[in-house]
Amino acid sequence: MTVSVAALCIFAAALGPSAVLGRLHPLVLHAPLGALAALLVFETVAWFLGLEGRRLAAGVLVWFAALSAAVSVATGLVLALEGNHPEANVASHRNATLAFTAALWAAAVCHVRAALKPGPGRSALYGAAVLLTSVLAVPAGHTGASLTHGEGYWTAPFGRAAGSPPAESPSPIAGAEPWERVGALSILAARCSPCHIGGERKGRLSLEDRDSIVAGGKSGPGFDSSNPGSSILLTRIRRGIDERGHMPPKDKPQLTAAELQEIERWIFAGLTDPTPEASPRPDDHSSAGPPLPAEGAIAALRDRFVHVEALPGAPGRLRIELAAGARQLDADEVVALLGPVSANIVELTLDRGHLGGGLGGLLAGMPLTRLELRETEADDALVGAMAGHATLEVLVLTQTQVSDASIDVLAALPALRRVYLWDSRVTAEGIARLRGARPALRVDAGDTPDAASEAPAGAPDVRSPATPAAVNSVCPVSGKPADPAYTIVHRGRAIAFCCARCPATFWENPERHLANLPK
Amino acid sequence: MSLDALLAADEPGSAAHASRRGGPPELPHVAPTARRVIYLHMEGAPSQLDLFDHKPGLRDRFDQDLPDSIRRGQRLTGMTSGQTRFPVAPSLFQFTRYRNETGGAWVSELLPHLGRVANEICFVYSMHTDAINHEPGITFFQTGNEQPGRPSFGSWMSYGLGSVNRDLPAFVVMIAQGQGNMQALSARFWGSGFLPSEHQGCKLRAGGDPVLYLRDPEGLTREDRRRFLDLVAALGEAEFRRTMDPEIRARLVQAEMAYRMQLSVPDLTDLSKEDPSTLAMYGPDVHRPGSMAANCVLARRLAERGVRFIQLYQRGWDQHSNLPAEIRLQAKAFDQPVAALLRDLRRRGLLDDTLVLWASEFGRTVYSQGTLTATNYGRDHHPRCFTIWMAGGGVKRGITFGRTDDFSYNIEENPVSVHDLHATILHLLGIDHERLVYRHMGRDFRLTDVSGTVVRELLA
Repeated sequence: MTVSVAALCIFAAALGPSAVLGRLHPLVLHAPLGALAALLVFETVAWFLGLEGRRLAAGVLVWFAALSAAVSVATGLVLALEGNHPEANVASHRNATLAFTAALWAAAVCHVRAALKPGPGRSALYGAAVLLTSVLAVPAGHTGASLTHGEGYWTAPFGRAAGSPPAESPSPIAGAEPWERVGALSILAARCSPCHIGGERKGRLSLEDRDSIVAGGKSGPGFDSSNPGSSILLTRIRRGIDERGHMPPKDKPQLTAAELQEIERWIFAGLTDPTPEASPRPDDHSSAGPPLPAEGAIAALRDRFVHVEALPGAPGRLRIELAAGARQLDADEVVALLGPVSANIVELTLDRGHLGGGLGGLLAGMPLTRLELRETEADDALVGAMAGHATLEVLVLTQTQVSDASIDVLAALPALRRVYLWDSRVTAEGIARLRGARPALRVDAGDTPDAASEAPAGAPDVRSPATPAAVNSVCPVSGKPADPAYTIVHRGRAIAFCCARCPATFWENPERHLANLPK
Repeated sequence: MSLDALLAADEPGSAAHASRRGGPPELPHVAPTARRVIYLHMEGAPSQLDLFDHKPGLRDRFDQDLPDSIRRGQRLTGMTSGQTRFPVAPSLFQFTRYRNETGGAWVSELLPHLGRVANEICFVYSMHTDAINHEPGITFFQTGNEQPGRPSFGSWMSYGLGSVNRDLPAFVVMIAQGQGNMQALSARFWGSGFLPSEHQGCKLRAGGDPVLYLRDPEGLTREDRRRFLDLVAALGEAEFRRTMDPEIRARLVQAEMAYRMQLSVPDLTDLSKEDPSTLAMYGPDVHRPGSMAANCVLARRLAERGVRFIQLYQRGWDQHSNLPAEIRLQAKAFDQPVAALLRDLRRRGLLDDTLVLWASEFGRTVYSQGTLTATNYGRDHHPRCFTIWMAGGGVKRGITFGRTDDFSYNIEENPVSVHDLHATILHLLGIDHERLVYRHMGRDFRLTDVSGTVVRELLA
């Protein structure tokens, strides 16, 4: 007994009284409930059997219940200081339990009165108090359980039996309509309740909206604007599932990869969502963004080894390169594969591919900014089909059959900034005409001039530093005939040596060898 | 679902599809201006003083001792520590200034062809590094760390961005031998480090056959080969599910890539349809397999076919002695081909989104290693400043950046570390260098290690 009390004191001292005392509440609260239950059973049995000494036993039980209820209330108040739960829920539980405790104490006092002066009135009052206490135990218990186990804990089985959806919700992304952009907040609402939304605030953290995420909880703010990658909200969900602190906890449903990606994007974007009109509803024709391609259209492209990637920025924009598919696809297949995604293609590379009829019309309808047709059968007909294209900025027509007949179409493309016409059928006159019609358009026909060189005017020949002729013809180190190729300069005099090794010897002790030189 | 989810769902995930991307799904982070990189690594470290960093004032300092105020206690290598003197060796070569978008760029007489395309080139004179010898220096430049074990640049790109052309690897390496003192080139310079090994560089041989055994043996048809690979893939998948060893997947992916390369490599190396005038642009060596000229032509063809990272090595720049004679030969071997590569890419409209990078592991000293004569000198390694250049891919055209002091020994303005350069290149590719990471040994690794800032002045 002493040991356990001592241990309790040590824990309290180490962890702080509230941490220990508060956490005794869920333990202690069972005492008055248990005692009340025992009292009810005992009084019922005793009433039927007419037991002797029932008053004393009942008194013990009711006073034990009252006292432990008081302790429970005290520890509960200490626990409430931790602030793990929303104020409103805590308040309702507190009020319910205070009412319950008050009723319990009233029952205890009534019992004493009935014991001191037995009588039907006092006994009835006592009985009524006990019954009232039992009734008040229900809201007290319900509000308490809601704090711990989430709202609707007691009513959930009835709801489930009535056919409503289970408490665990499926991934909001998988369940959303194709045009719905599921925001990160809905993901958090689906995956992080009830511990951080709705019922409780575990770790004092609420994930209900942006402000509460930024405010954070016990571990600090959930979002770090200076270094989003180290935001606690992100690091906790990115952690390995077996690592300490991984969220959601192991035994709860986990975030899917798509949800993780959305939350990551949301955090790096500063907790903002992209503009709503980027994902239009199917019946909303006034929105700006392209509709999403049909399911399987992208897979069909990839199966034929066409490269498809999303462009960053507004969603729904694709870059497509034939790449490995150029060799394998014939003209009709190219048209058939590009058709379903044509409303999304912003950059298209068809180098070395096979082009055919129908492609021109398809290209004209794409929201292209960049089109590359190197080494294809692209010709004036194809360029003509794209006349007046509103958004095309870069057009590569090298090594094609495009000729001067396309110059007018090219000159009239309003958004065109760069065009490449090397090794096409366009002549020098055509190029000149295009450049004249659109001076700001960069026309590259493989004729970019070289960078002009500027020799500095009047510069001396600096091919080698001015080396005077050697002063000697015999090597001062070896005495052999000197070779002018091995000349060094020492104190303004050029000295020749016979080989590559003698200069090193000379440098070791120049004074010694200088004597061998002519004056 | 959103478009990202659609794209991710349709991403080929099984080993039977080669070159699937393993990287984070949200790449690219920003709009890329470069889609592929041709990286010319000059192995051995060319002398910046004799090629690009023009220091006319050194003419008057021939044979003078390098002042201590300049040297500032720079550590010496074992090759020059025995020297008693460090005489200044000005360059023997004449420099010409070529007009570009700003004040002109000085290029030595050794590189006349390159000078004439100087208006496309962005010179960075103020690169610096820590390593003083080749192996750690090259490792640092390729992987972001002097100690081996990390993935190379091309592997990071293969991992992050994946391959565009499923028929070819995302990372291809070609090596040209040089004329001078040649240092060793380890295969781990294009290795995948701790990334799955399907991201390693694929080295094409320098001989007549870039890839050996491309043709199936007698009696084995392509359909047979396909069925064989499908069976092996099925067995491999089962084994993978049992053991979760990622190298099984890597092996299957590479077998699939080899199958595809059987058809794509002959198409790549078939120069018969190339215009002779185009080939002539690359110089007389173009028909010698394994020369820099031949490799440049292949590099252009690889770029046309969408290969992400094409790395060319030229060995033999380590001129510790006999520099003037050897550097003439080295420079001649790459001058015309590389200039032709830039021209060829430009006129095909490929230079806009192809980044060409010319770099080395460090520079060379201003003082002569060994005997200094009027016509001969050598130079030792010098990490404190060296020159690299870039062209295309969203880099600012025709500028010079950074400045060294009069001795080309210390940096005076705008130092650029190797990590900064990597961060800048990754930015051009649309990647935030701090967010392309891979978890290994309990922490996130990235190419730029723990430093590096994007040099905004180099971006167009």
